[in-house]
Amino acid sequence: MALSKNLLRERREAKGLSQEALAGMVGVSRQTIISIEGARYMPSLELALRLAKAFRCKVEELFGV
Amino acid sequence: MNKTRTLWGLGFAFVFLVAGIATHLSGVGERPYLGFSSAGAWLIYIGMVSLVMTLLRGMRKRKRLVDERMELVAFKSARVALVGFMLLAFAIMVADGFIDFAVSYGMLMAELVCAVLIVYMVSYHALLRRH
Repeated sequence: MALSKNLLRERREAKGLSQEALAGMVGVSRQTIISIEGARYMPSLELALRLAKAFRCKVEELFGV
Repeated sequence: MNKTRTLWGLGFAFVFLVAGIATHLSGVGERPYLGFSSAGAWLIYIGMVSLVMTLLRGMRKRKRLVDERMELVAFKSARVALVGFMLLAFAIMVADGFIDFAVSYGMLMAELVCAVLIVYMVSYHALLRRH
């Protein structure tokens, strides 16, 4: 199942964060951020929550199915 | 590498070394085994390799990051390796009906383990690119 909405790249770029910096903030590798942005990998609930926390928004504002 | 893994590694190395020295000194398994003069010598070699690998990993300064994507890929490649092992074992069983293998049991198992590790590594790196 793929995500119908994935605004991770837009949110990251709007905040002026690099993929490396975001990866460090949520505790994953840069490759994982690249994979999520490229819709090759669907993040777990825990990672989605950590990403939402990093952007101070709701999970639904970042991802949608 | 965390402390528990280091302790496990050192424990394994110690067990192999003690078992190797004990069997070597007691004269058990005194025949050529997997390219070594005796099974004890082979156990000592495995113990030394385990010890060196554990110490080298312990000295690594940069912490290795393992995230959920890598764990997922590792799980999938382990499944591929298991299926590969079963297929290989089945192929060997079938082939054994047609030709006589002139390979010792120890060597066969060593080659099987190496084959499984190679399949695991190749599938891990291939799947890591896809996910």
